[in-house]
Order: sequence, then structure tokens, then C-alpha cells
Amino acid sequence: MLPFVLKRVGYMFIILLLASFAVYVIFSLLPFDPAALTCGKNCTPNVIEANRHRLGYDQPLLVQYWHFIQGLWAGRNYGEGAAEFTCPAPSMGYSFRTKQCVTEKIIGAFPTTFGLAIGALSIYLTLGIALGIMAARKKGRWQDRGATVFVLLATSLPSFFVGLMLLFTFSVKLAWFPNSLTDLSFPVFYQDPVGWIQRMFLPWMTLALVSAAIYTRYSRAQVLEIGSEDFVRTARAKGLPERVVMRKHILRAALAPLVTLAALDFAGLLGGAVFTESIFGLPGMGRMAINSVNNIDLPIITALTLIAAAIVIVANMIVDILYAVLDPRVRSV
Amino acid sequence: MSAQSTHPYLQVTDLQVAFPTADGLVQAVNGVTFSVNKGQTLAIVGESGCGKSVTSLAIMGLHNRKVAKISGSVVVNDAEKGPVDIVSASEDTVRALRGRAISMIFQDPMSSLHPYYSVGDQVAEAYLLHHDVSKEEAFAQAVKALERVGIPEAERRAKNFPHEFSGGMRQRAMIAMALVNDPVMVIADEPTTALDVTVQAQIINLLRDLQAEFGMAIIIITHDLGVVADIADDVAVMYGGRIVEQASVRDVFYRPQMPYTMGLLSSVPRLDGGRDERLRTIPGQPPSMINLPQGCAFRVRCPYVELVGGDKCSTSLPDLASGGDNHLVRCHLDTDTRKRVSAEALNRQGAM
Repeated sequence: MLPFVLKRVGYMFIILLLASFAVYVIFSLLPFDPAALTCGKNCTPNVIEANRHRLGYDQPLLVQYWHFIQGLWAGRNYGEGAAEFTCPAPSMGYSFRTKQCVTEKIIGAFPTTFGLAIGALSIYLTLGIALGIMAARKKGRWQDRGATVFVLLATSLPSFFVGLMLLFTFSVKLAWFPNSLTDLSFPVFYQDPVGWIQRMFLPWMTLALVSAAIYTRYSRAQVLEIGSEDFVRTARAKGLPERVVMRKHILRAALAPLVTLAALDFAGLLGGAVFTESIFGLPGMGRMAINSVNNIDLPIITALTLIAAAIVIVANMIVDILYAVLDPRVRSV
Repeated sequence: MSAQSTHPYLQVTDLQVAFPTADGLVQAVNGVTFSVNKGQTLAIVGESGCGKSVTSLAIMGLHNRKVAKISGSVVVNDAEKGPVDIVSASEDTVRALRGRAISMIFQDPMSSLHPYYSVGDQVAEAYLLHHDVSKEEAFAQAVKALERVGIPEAERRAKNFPHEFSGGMRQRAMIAMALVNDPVMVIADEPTTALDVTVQAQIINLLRDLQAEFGMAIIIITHDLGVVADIADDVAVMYGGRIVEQASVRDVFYRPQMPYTMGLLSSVPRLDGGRDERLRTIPGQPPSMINLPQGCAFRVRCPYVELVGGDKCSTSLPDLASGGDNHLVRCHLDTDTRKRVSAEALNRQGAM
């Protein structure tokens, strides 16, 4: 098991390095002069050149990339003398638009995105799998048909539509939840957990509804497929009660592949739920991405892209390891 | 022994199993009657789709009651619970017998073991379910059962997963799982079909040895006549969901009376046959189990319909009637004609 894990971790670092290089190169090829974007209206060629040097954009691309990588573990200094300032490790660059270190900004936005992701994940996994198992057990009956209708409806509705409808219905009309259009404050979880949950509930439901439908469909199909396997018949032939057959023999095998799906979904959510965060005014990474694109704030866009890629890669590795824990056949490969 | 002959361990009476499908009712088993005593081996033989596996699953009560329509009776004379009719008894009653009194060995050992649990755990699970012991004790019993079926280093191998076993070893593990509770009867549904020929012989020998040692009844479902000759006492030949011939293994092999059985026997390839000799087959296809035709199901493939004369074969279903000592045949031919064509058919094939 340990060599397996070490091998996966090794691969992960290689892939991360390649991915970061690709992202860095792609963003350098964009038709924007990052130095010209630093000063806005009162730009003069002198200021642009000074900033270019200050931020390191006058260096060759490979050197820039090396400084970026170096900054991740050593921190980074910009400028000289009195104008010198430092972004401490792990530095992911400096946002000249907001005059902040990128890492600092992302650390500020991450908890919101993380809270959104983990809440939504818990809701849709529970709801989706429970509905899926029920639909499979009552195949062809009204419970199954109801689940099918739910799946069809929920997967047909895009999250921005669901989000707006929830916001309109429950915040604006019924006022059951704080209205994020008028109430711009956002509570911090450990200071006001109740307020935080109130603000998060509708975003959670927005993300959970669509995904729950996907998990319902998938777990229903899995339970039905595994249920007709020979080894399930063996379990029944032993005399096991149906409850144990379901829990120990069907679900164990049926839900293992769901781990892959769930981990990758979670990774996707951690990268920032752009629509949902924007609709509900959540100060997370998704909304930060939108704002940065609008401001052409290249260092932040680069960093967010890299983080999203890194999260997916790490999630993939965790999935591989989890899968080996769950399925003994993978371990010996 | 006399008590056993009046009350066999398993008595199947007029068993009917049907499945409603979109195309119509599939009458998979249509009035099957037989009995099996302790220590005895019955082979159920027939082509794919003749209803033999459906019969075995009905004996185990493993058909989904919501889907399958089952009638008739399957009475098991259990030592603890007395006679239990699997068809009408409650699910809990049947489950208490399953795996303890009657257990089953399935066809494909590759897919019949759970890929996520170690072999020892899976055998131990069967023991634990029917015995009030600790997990450790159950696992020790599982190791013992694995030893009994000839798995070397059973203690270590019990911790392996099924994918770390060869096909033959997996089937041994399946047998260990079936025998761990010392059942009175074992149903083996094509236990050797998925295995290499050399391994097939080992598995059959193992079953025979275990039967000699523990005296359980065996129902072996197979289409392999070699297996039948090796292990069975009695043979029931099934065709179109019905038993068409039932007799001792000697009678079926040397004096078959039903044309279908004769066809089966002459389609066995022979080592001493000429090198240019074609493999004999029974012309035609087995019947569809949806809307079975009236009369004898085998008549469209039967070479002797003319000998019966008239349209008797296509209008009336022959009874399963006596054709000699403990020999039941479902055929309209009269006994003398049957014996004559049987001798001819076997001579053509060469002396068996």
C-alpha cells in the first residue's frame, strides 16, 4: 500500500509542475501587456517600464516562471530600496490592481468557497444517494417514478436559474433568508455561525439540487446493476437477510465508484462556484475570479486557474488512494 | 432407510415457475416432480434454457417472489423445523434453511465471490450467520473448511481476495462456503462449466469425496454427461421445462428410452471415433419457453414421430410413465419400439 501511495504522490507533483507551466505560458501569451495594466489612466511610458521592471515582467518567460515557482516556497520581493515590499511564502504573485499579494487575497476568499463546497456536497450526497437507493429498491413503483421526475427536472435546470428563483422566492418574496441583494455584509463563520448558515443555505441548495439529481440517477443505476451480480445471489444463498445483502454486499460495491465522482465534484466546487457565488454575493473564489476577469487582473486569474487545476489533481490522487482502500483489486496493480 | 424412502429429504411436486415478460409468460419450469434422499446424488441434465437452473433456484427459494410465479411444492424435511415447503413458507423460514440445511455452488466462481471481501471472510460470514459464535471462531471454521476442500496454506490464503485465487481455487472456496455449515443437501449448478478440463475432474472428485465423508445429498445441474457418469446415482433429463426421462445413471446411459436422451448421448464425441467422423448433433433448436406448443415439446426435432403415427405427438402431451424398474419416460412410443430404436441409436454411436 505504501509504495502505491508514494508512486501516486510522485506522479501528482510532476503533473502539478506541468500544469502550472502550461497555465503560466498560456497567460503570458494573452494579448495584454501586464505592465501597461498596472497604472490605468495616468500611465506614461516611464511608469510602465518602471513597473515592468519592478514586477519582473522584463525577464524572459522561463525566468519569470522560475521566480513564480521560487516564490511559492521562498516568498517574493518586488522593487528596490524604499519602494521594496514583500509577498511572503507561499507567494503567488502581486495583484497590481488591488495592491495586494495574491496569496493573501485567496486566503481571504477560500473559507467561503470551502464552506459552500462542503455544505453543498454533504446535502447532495445524502439526498442523492438516499433517493437513488430508494428508487432502485422500489423499481417501477411510484417512488421510482417520482425520483425519475426529480432527476429530469433538476438536471434540466441550470444552476443560475435555480439560484435566481430561490433568491427571488425565499429571500425577496418570503424573506425567510437574508436578502443578499440589499444586505451586503457577510458574517464570519466562527463569529456568527447561525447568520453564516442562513446566508449559505440557499447557495447550498442551488448547488445541491442539480448534483443530487445526478447522484440519484447514478446510485440507482449502480444499485440495480450490482444487485444483479452473481456474488449478490451468493450472499442470498448463504441465507443473509435482505437488509444485510443490501448494506454489506450491494452498497459497498455500488457506491465505491461514487467516491471518484464525489471527490472530483468537490474539487470542481473548491475551484469556485462562479454563478452561485455571484448570485448570492458570496465573497469566495468564484466571485473573485469574475471580478479579476472584469479588471484584467492577470496575477489573480493565473493563480486561481492554477489552484483550480491543483485541487483537481490532488483530488484525483486522493481518489486513487481511496479507491485502493475500497477495492482490493486495485491495490495489487 | 425405510423411513427415508417414504419421506425423502427433498420432495419436489409439480413445480411450476413462470416469469411474466413483455413478450408473454415464460413458462420456465412446467410441472417438475422428483425427490432426493440423503447421501444420494441426482443429476439434472439438459440443454441451456431447459429450466434446470430455474428449478435449482426455486429449491433454494432464491427467485424474486415479486417477479416469478411459482406453484407446486418443494418440501424439505429439516431435522430442526420438520417439513418446510419452500414455495409457501415465509421468507424468514426459508432463509433459516438456506446456507445451513441446503446450500448452493454456483456456475461461475469468477463472479460468484464478492470482489471486496477476503475469501476467508466470505466463508466465515456463512458460518457466523447460522452459528452463535465470535468472528474469530467463525474465521477459524472458515480456514478449516478451506483446508477440507484442499486449499493449501489455508490459514494464509483465507486472507487473500478472490482475484488472488485461480479459477479452480475459487470454485474450491465456493464449495468450502457451501459446506462450512455441514448442509444436508448441496445444489451444484454447473459447478465445472467455467473451469479447465483438468480442474473439472478435481472439482468433481472433491465433491464425490466430500459426499462420501459427510453423506450429504447432491443435486448437480449440468449439461456435461461426463460429469453425470462420474458422480450421479440418478439422472433427470429435462426438456422444455419438463422432465422427459428419469432413471438410474446406468439405465439412462445404457438403456435410454426417450429419443431426446438418445440424441444427447450420441452427440458426445468419442475418442475412438474415426478422424473424419462428424460430431453428431440433434437437429433443430430447443423450443421457446413462451407459449409452449401443445403436445410433446421435442416432436419437431424427434426422428421417430412417424413410428408413433397419427398426430398424437402434436396434440397430446405424453405422461411421464414407467418404462421399467424406476425408469420414467415421457414418450408416446410404446416400450418395445423405444427399446429397439434405443439399441439402434447406441449401436450407431458404437457400444457405450
